[in-house]
Amino acid sequence: MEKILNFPIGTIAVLGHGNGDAQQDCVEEPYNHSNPMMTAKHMFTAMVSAISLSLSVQAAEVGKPAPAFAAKDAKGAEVSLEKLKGKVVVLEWVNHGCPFVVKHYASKNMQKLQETYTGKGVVWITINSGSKASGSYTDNETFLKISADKGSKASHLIADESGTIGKAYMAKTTPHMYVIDAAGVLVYNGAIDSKKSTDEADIPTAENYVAKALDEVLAGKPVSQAKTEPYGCSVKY
Amino acid sequence: MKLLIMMMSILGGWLAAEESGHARVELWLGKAQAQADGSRMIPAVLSMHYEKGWHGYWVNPGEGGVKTTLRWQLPTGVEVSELMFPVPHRAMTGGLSCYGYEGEVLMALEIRAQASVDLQTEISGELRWLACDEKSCVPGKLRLVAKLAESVDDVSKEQKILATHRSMPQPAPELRLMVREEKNEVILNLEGADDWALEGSEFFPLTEQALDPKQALRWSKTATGYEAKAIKNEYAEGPLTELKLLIVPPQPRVARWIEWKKS
Repeated sequence: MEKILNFPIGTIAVLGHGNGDAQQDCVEEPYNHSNPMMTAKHMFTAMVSAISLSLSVQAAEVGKPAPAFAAKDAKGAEVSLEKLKGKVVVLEWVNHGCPFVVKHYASKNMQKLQETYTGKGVVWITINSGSKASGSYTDNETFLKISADKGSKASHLIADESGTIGKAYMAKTTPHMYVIDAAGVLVYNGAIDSKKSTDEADIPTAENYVAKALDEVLAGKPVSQAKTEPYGCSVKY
Repeated sequence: MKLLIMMMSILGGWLAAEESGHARVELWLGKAQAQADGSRMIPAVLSMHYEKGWHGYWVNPGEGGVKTTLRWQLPTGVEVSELMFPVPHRAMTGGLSCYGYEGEVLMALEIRAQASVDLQTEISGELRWLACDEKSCVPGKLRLVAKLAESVDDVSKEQKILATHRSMPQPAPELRLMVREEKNEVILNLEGADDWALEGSEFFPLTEQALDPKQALRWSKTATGYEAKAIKNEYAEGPLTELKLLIVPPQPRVARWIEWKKS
């Protein structure tokens, strides 16, 4: 499914990479025009990058380049996956009203993971793709406050109201976790751990797939379990 | 939301309905049936009634959901079977394909007490489930407590217990399922089903992460039986080694299950 890219100034861009069998169109959504960082020059760079990669677009696939995206985080800072090359990146989909997310935040499991791995240089991006219509949307101020109250140690919070990033990654559940290596390749897509439940008591005996993947990536090893079934509430696009 | 509720037995021996996690729960115990070895079998039913707009999940919940579980703490000499689930419905929730129930769902279980066990003995268990609507999910949790002798005193409810047990899916040993894989497809062959209206039957995979839950199986007649092609579940790890399917023919709508294991 090919599509000519046409970026007006002031868009959030998600660019896939692939070779046919496209499942996800390139998506463009209005972006915050007040972002002083998103200049015409940036947008031109994004256009050139996009066109040089491919005009066909594919959903996130383990072993392939992770769909690029650029967005403002909840504090207003620009977050560009392209600019994070050289660093290992974690994407975490969140909805603090979801009992599966509550399980991992009330137990501090998620915050410990964030703290441990950001301490090792990993960039941790927590994303809420809930739409306003679904009732799961949180504005930046609320997102920051809730995350601070929960003790989040994420590097960035992104309110992806349009679902642009979520759909590019085909994020299904909250939580849904992705690990991208320093070369920008998606190396893990799936659940946070092996116990599909809302019970905190299951955490100590669960195998934490994200920690395992990150340990392997940081050690320069291939990820041994690169894809698992995510569990949680559906992402409310 | 009440997270923990002690269910107390009341007049007539059945257990009071309690509400939690957007469901109303009752446990019905039937009359103890003497067995040849002196033990007693007590048929029981767990009734869950989900609030309008909410649903719970089957033993294979599909994408996103969580199956209902009941974990017992039992005295010596008492055993309880796994929960037996009725035929589920296929549904989409927030873009995820799932198998579950709306409204009332009756699950069967069998309690077995050895001859030495006093039927005034109390058993308890923890019921957990997940109820979801289009916007949110809420976990439910209840503590169930029952005395083995406290059977329902309502004839219609006793009949409902027995009817629920009779309606549970049964094995279909006359059917032979064979499975092979071609790329990301799973080819199913079924022998011994000549008398079945497979084209009009519904199929549900009891085995998790085997077949794509979004796709319904469509069977076609072959020289030796029936064949269907399914998309392999994207999260299946390695080649399939077993597959258990629930078959629900259109008439009579009595569910049977078939199983394949790699030799």
